[in-house]
Amino acid sequence: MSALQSKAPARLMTLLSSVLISSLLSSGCEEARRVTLSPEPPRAGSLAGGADEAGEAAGGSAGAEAAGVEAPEPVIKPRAPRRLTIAQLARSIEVVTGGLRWLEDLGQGPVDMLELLAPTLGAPDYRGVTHENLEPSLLLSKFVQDGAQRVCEAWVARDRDPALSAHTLVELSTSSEGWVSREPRHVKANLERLLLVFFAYSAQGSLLGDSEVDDPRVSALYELFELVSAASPSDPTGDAWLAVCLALMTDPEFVMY
Amino acid sequence: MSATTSLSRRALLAHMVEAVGLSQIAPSTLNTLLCGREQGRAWAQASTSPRARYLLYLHFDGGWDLLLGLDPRDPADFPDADAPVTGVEPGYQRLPPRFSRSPIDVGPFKLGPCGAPLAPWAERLALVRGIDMGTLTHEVGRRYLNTGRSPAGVSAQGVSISSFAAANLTGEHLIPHLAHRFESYHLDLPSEASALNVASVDHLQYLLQETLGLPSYAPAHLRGALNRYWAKQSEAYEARWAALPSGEAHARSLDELRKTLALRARARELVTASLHESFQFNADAQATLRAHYQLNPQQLDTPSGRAALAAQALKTGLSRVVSLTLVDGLDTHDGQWANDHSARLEQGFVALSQLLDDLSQSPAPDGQSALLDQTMIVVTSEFSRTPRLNARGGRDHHLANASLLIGGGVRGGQVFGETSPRFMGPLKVNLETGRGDPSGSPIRPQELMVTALATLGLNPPTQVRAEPLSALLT
Amino acid sequence: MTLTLRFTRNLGRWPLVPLSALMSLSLSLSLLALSAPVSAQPGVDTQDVRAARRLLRRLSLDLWGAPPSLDALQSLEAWPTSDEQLSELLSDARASHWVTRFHEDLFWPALEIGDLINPAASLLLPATFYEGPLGGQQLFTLFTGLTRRGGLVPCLDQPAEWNEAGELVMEEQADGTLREGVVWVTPYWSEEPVKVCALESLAEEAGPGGVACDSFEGLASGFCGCGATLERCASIDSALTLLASFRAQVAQYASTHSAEGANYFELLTRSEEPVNGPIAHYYRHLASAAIDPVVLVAPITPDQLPSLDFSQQDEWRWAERAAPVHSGLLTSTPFLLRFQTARARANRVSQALLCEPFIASNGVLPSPEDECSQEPNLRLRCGCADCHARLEPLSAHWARFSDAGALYLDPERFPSYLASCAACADGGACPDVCRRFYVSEAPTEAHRDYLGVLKAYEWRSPDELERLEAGPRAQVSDALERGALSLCLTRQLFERLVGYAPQGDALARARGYAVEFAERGSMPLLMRRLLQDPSYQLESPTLWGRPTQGVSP
Repeated sequence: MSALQSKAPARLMTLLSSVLISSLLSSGCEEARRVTLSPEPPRAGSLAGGADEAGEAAGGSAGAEAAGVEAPEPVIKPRAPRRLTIAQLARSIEVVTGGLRWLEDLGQGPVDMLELLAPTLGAPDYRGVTHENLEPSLLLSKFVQDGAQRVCEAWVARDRDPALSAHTLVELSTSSEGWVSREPRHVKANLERLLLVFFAYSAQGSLLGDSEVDDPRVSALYELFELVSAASPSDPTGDAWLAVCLALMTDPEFVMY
Repeated sequence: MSATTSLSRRALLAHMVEAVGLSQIAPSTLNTLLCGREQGRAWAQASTSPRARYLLYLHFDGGWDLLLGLDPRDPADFPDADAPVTGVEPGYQRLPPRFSRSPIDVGPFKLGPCGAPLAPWAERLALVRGIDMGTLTHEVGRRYLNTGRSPAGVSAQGVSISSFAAANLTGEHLIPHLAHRFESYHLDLPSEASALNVASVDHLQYLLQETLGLPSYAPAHLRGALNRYWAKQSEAYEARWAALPSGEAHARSLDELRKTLALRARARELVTASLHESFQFNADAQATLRAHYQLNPQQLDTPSGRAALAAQALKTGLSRVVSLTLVDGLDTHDGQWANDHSARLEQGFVALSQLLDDLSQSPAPDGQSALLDQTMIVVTSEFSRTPRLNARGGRDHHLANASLLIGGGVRGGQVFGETSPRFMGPLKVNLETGRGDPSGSPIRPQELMVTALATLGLNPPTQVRAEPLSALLT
Repeated sequence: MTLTLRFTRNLGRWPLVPLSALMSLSLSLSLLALSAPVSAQPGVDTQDVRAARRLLRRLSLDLWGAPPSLDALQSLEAWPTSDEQLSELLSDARASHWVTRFHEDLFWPALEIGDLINPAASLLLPATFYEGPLGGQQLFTLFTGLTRRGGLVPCLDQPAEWNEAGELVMEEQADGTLREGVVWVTPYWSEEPVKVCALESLAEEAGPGGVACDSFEGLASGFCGCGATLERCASIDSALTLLASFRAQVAQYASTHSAEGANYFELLTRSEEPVNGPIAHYYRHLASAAIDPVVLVAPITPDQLPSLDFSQQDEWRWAERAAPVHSGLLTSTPFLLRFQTARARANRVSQALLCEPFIASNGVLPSPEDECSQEPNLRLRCGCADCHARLEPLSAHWARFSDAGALYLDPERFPSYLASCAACADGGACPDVCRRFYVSEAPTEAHRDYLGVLKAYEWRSPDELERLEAGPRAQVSDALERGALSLCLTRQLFERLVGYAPQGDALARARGYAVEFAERGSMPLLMRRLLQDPSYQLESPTLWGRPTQGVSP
């Protein structure tokens, strides 16, 4: 794994190593939220973090049966998506990039930024913070973007090295032109592979099959790739894959599952 | 008029739109993303119409000496030698020579020798004396004032006044609640009420920059394409969700996903608004600010530096609530009281004066008045110090406290409440008039909190049981 | 095959069966349905490889804390939640992610240095701590400095000297303190020698007046020293290692009892405690000096401690605790020190393990001047009775473990009544043991009845006294018997995995899992049930899971 060798002001290290930032913040563009002026007591059975949307109901179909009503087929309510914890986020970055982490050298050697920022982002220490708040958060969004930028730069730099044995960003088997190829079939095949590893998402249609139906997510990413590579003054492929990486890492579903 | 840049709300939004390159987005989406219109109202609206729209909570940490500040005694009436009888020992003779040896008459009331910097602002100060803290423990006093509720042991109960205000005040702020070295409690409040707590005065500039200000190699042209991708993705999501049956089943999930998408764009706004420049206190562009607050660029972590942080947060429209510890190190039980406490208390009052000056010269974002007229400023300490010096030449903790309320909605130039002339105990008062009344009631921290919230047009949280001190309200 | 749970009440065809029997019948059928192929679940298309991949991502993140690799996704051929596959996922070492996280969220294992040792007596600080950047790196303790050197100061950064009589030379300094020099010692926490003040390097057995050196008084006297390998003291690093070890102890309890074949509930009842090298060292050498304010006596006698070196952090052995009423993790050092009163412990168990939080009423508290507010018994005091009527009996289970510490109040050493503590209340100063553990003040007449009584017994009813003697284990077995424990844990796990509290049919299924969990005591089995539950398997249509994902049923 590579760390970006950036020289930052030493005081940034002091700043971050003594960080007291302790709360998430979120600034939703919405009306003033209704304040629960008398905090609702926790419902028995629900954790502080979760909230049952409809409260408890008794019995279900057995209850209905008691009333003599024909019980309907059980309706399955699907799983509610939830956000990753900071620990899961750090591991996710590592897995999808094949080992990279968001590291910064602040003057005293590489520092794992997510580890450093974990308390700021709400990871529990079980004294002051006993429960990780998984609400959408402006601060997390901001840091995810910061981290994505640094990790994606490192990933592009590492992945394009011809000496590398396993390429995780741009797999070369579908290209005859090597890493710099902009051939549509090669690019789209890679995009499908990236969508799979990032989101476990299986693209519609297949380039190896008979139909060439384009998956909308693949198309959107391909359009991004094309736009960036066409406008790049000096490094079309590198810039374009950087853009794709950023798009994938700042996707809401990268931090949700 | 201060030379620091003052962005009107419209200009700020226009700047953001340009910088973010969202010109291709449909206006309605743009509105949603940027909250172009002010919406909503304070749910906890009180019957008095709000005068203030911003809150500054300034804490002097350690327990301040009222004889040196907000509740002096004249040594002519209370000679140090008579302390065993009077229970009061002003000790002004022990202070460094630059301090007055007697209380300073500022017009509507008198202040102690360290209060000189506040003299020009006397007409704007509502001075509350005789607050009965009921505790001599730092954490308990601090948290009692912070929440308006007596803590359980040392654990705070309820929500802090600053978080409550942040949740209930309206407006478009990227960091609605900013804090510096001060606790906040936001149990059950929406997450925008949570304080962003910065450890040092110049940290905020890094947080407000892309990749924390560290050099990044992403080419500029990439940004526009990525923004466009984001916008299209948001539209695609909305199209998917439109096909779902309406109702409660997915409401929460949709809410969270929409919020996540909106926050993604907002996080860009945060770094492209160039707000960080307003917090680069040692940059050339902030020379005027530094001059106003007399800041040494190498040593920003002073009361004046913290005051500058608070002022900038309000002036730039970054925040609507700022809570911070303005002064540290007031817990002087030993002989260093004479030099250290006086110096720090004076520094705190100087910083406060500089802050009031800055806010009075800066326009409020709506351009209707000076920012000071729309800001509620609460100045407190967790308790006071004993009126008698102890054996080591210092002062210990004392129950009777005082506080300053300043700004929009406050009737300044008056004293409310009093301490007993001898022994300086908190006196019961008539809560209508603030005059001593043995059959009256004590002034407690909750009265202070409720009064401050009333200027903001807010009713307090239900478990804070107190009435506002109407004599202090305009 | 789809099993449809469809009953109609037709008195002509069905015998009159009590409702409870019908409910348990429907639950058993639910369980049968689940042990049938997972494809029986309505709404879940187990033939869909795309959905299977998405499920694998959820499983991997939930159980291992990381998404699946590309290989795992590409090679996936079958729906990933068969019993065999889940057993494999759950028994993998990476599954410690969910086990640790779940149990840390329940038990909040976070201690501070001051919880374990007395920082002034036993914490070796570097000289820079006190003297600023100009000080050297020699280690010293505050109390030794205070008592022997005459100030909170370290020694001189030069080799120590002894005179001909073999006494340590201490030189008077300009500031009036007496300071000796340094020696090099290889401490127990490191293979490299460290510089330590000579007084701290002493290894006496007894201090002035014969005070034992393995006690707080001994260490505080400044005459004992930290021992030949500094074993009686902790450096900041070794203290942090200790903190990490006690945190990991909770994970050890959890992982052992969440494994296949283990009885999960013994986590809360067993008499042993898992011990690693640092913890063994702590119990052997450091615990005895942990006093003021925390009182601690090692729960494991030296003969039962495993012979592990401090460096053996990752080696764990189960060791028997001495006291008869130990109750698994609930009387472990990290739990007792994190929740430092009987009420706090009872409250934590009630909230985290039984889902029975204490909720104060929202009404106005009566004025402090009100007569009802003067009632000393919290079970009866108005405004307090809401919670304390239930909390006090529950706290009785923990009353034999001291507050502000992890000391078991052995009935022999701490009888329920001490006449001397009653006597000292009326005149003269009460000794420490009375002030700390016995009622030795009577602010009201009602309190006088309890003078001399162990504080743990104050205001206790006969029922509570029984609970007191039975210990926390009794609370656990009661909760297990009435199903509250298994149901609470099941519901919490359901909510963690599925994202909302179970209701309606899901709740009925969850109750079934809980009943089975209570009977079989198998956490892996419970997890399999939950991961095979259709609520977990069915993905929300709000996410972009599949290209042509339809609307949810």
